[in-house]
Amino acid sequence: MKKILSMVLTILLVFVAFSGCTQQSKSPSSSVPSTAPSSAASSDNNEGDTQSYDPVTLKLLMTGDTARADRFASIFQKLADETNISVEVSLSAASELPTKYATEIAAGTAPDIGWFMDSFMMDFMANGNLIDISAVKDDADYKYNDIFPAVSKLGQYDGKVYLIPFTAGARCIYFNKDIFGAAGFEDPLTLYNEGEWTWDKLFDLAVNLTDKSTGTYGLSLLNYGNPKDWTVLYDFVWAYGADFFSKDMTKAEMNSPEMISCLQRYYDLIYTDGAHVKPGDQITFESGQVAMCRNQFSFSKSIQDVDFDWDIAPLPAGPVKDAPVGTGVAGYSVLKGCKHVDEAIEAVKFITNTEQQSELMDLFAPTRESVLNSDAFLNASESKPSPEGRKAACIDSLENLRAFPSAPNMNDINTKMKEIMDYFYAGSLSASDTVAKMEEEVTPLLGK
Amino acid sequence: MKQQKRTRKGKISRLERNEYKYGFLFISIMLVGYIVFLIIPLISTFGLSLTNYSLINGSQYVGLENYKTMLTDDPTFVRTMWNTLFFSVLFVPSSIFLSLGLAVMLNKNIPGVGLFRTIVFTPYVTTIAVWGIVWKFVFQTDNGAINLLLRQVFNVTGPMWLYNEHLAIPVVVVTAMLKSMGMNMIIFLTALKSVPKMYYEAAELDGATGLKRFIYVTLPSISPTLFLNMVVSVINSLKVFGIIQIMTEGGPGTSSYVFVYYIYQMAFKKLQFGYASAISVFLFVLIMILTIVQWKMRKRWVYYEN
Repeated sequence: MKKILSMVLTILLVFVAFSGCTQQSKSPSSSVPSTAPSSAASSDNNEGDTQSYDPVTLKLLMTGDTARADRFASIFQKLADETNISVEVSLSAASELPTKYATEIAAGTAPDIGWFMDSFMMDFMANGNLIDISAVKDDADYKYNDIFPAVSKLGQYDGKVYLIPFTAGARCIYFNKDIFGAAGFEDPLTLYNEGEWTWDKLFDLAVNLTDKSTGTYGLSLLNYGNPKDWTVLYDFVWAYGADFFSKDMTKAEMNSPEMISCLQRYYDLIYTDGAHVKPGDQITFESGQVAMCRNQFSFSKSIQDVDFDWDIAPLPAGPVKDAPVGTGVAGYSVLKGCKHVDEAIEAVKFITNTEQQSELMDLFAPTRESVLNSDAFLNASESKPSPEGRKAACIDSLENLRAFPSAPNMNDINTKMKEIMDYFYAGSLSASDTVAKMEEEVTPLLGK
Repeated sequence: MKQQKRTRKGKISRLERNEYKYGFLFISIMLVGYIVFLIIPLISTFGLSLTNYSLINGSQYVGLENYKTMLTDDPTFVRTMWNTLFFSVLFVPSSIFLSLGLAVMLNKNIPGVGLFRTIVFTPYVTTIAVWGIVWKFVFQTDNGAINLLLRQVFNVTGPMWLYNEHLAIPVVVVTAMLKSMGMNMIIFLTALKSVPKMYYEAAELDGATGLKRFIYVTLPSISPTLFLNMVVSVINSLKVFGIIQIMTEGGPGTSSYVFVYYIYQMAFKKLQFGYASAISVFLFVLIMILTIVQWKMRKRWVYYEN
C-alpha cells in the first residue's frame, strides 16, 4: 500500500512539475472574421503565408506604458473591425529592445512587427533579420512619398524598404516660462522670432538662470537619456562646424579644433559654471528645477500636467549658416519568422497612414509632410506646446534635417563612444584627449 | 521488522535495493531539474565558448580563439579582472569584519536588542533594485544626501562619488556591504550563541581579558562559520552584478566593469554569445580554483571540536 501511494505521489509531482513547462498562453484574440479580403496580394517572400480570410493575430512589440499600449490597442481595433487582422501589443523598455529582438529571433518567438530605432535598426537590417516590405511603395493610396525623404531613406537598406518611420523630427528646447519670467529674461521662442536665438545665447542664459540657492539649473541637454547618450551633442557640434563621423560613417572626424572647443565649452558649463545638471544627478525638467532642456517632441505629452508654464523652441543656431539639425528615427518593421507577411505589411501601412499619424500626432512628431504641415498639428487640442512653438520647433527646421548617423555595427560604436564620454564627464580625460581617444578606438570599428 | 543485512559480501539485499529505488525516485525531480537547468547549460556554455555565436549572425567553430582574444587582445577584459579582484579584496574582509562586529555587539540580552537586529537585517530583505536606486540618489553629486550634508554642515564640496574612476567601486562595495551584512550577522550570531559558556568561564578563571577571550575562545569556536561566510562572500563578490548595473552601469567608462557585468554586456548588448561564454568559463574556473584553495586551507584555519 505504501509503495502504491509513493508511486502515485511521485507521478503526480512529475506531472505538476512538467505541466507548467508545456503550457502555452492562449491570449484572446480581438479579431473578427472578415468578409472583406485583405488588400495585399500574396508575395513571393511569404514565410508560410496562406491566402485565406481566416482571422490573423499579429504581435507588435513597442515601448511605452500601459496607457500607450491601450491606446494602440484601441487604434488597432479599427483595423480588426475592417479586416481579418488583429494586433496584440506588448511592451518593452527601449534600452532592452535590441536584446529582446535578438533573443526572440534566435528562439523563434519574435514578434511579427516591432519598433526599431536608429541606434540599432541597421544591425538588424544588415543581418537579414527584417523582411523586405518594399511592397508599400506600390500602394498609391498609402502615399509612401508623403513621408519625408530624409527620414524614409533611413528605413531603406540596399535599395529595399525594411522600416517605415513613424516619428522623426528635430529635438526641441523646452523652457520653463516661470523661471524666465521671474528672472526677467526673454525666452528662447521670443529670441528665435527676433532672430537672436543662438548657442552662445543659450549658454549665457543657462549661466544667468542658474541659482544654487534654490537648486535651479539653467540647462540640461541630458534629459530623458542618461549621460551615456553622447548623441545629444550632435546639434551643438554641427552648429559649430564640427562632426563626429563622416556622413558615410567610414571616417572618424571628431579630432578637430572645433570639436575640442565645443567639448571644452560644454565641460565648463557643467563643472565651472555649474549651470548644467551634473551627469548622474536625477534632476529633470519636469521637477521645475531646470530652466531649459533638450528633448524630443514626444516628451511634451508626459509634461502636460506639470505645475509650471512651459513651451518649446527650436534648437539654436551657431556660426555655421544652415547647419543641419539632427533627427533620430523610429519605425515599424516586419521581423524574420513572421508567418503572415502580407497581413503584417497591411498592419504597418495602417498604423503609419495619414489618418493614424494624425491620430497619434500628440505623441509623436509626424513623419508625413501633409500631417506635419496641417492645421490640426499646429492647433492640437493640448494647450502646450503653443502653435507658435510647434511651428518653430517642428516645421521650420525641416529643411535642414539630418538623420543621426547609423551603421550596421552602430551598437559597438555606441558602446565605445559612451565609455570614452564617461571619462570625459569624470574629468579623467581633457577635451583634446577625449577626441583623440575616440578617434583611436572608434576608427577600427568604422566601415565594417 | 528488522532489516536484513547484506547476505553475502558485496551484495545488497532485495529490501535495500527497493529502498534505493524509491529514494532515487523521490529525488529524481530535483535531479532532472539539476541536470536540465544546471548541468546541460554548463556543458552548452563550454561548447558555445568555442564558437563565435551571435544571436543575429549565426555560429562558427573557432576553437580557442575566444580565450586567446580574451587573454591577449582585450584590454577591457584585463580591466574587468582587476576591477573584480579589487571589489572582492575590499568587500570580503570588510563585510566579514563588520558583520562579526555587529554580531558580537548584538549578542547581549539588553532591552531593544531585537529592534537593533531587525534594523540591521532589514536591508537584506530589500530588493537589490530598490536598494541600488536609493543609494544612487544618495550618492548624487550635487543633490545627493551625502554631498548635501558635507556642503551644509562641513562646508566641503563632496566628490563625484559615482563619476570618479577611483571611487566608483569603493562606493558600490559600501552599498553592497550594507545590504549583505544583515544575513552574515545572523549567521555569526547563531554561531556565537552555540559557543559553550564554560569555555569563557574557564578562560576568565585563567585571567584572560575580553580581547584574549575573543581571540582564543570565540574565534576558534566560530571558525567553521567564519570559513563558510568567507567562502560564500568570495563567491558572491566574484558574481556581483545587480548593484553595478543599477548604480554605475560599469562606469565611468569601464572602471567598474566586473566579470558578470562584462558577460552581460557581451552577451545581451553586443550579442556575442560565444565570447561571453568564454568569459563565463573563465569565471567558473576562477571561482572553482579559489574555492578549492580555501577548502584545502580549512584544515589550517578551521578548528573542529571533533
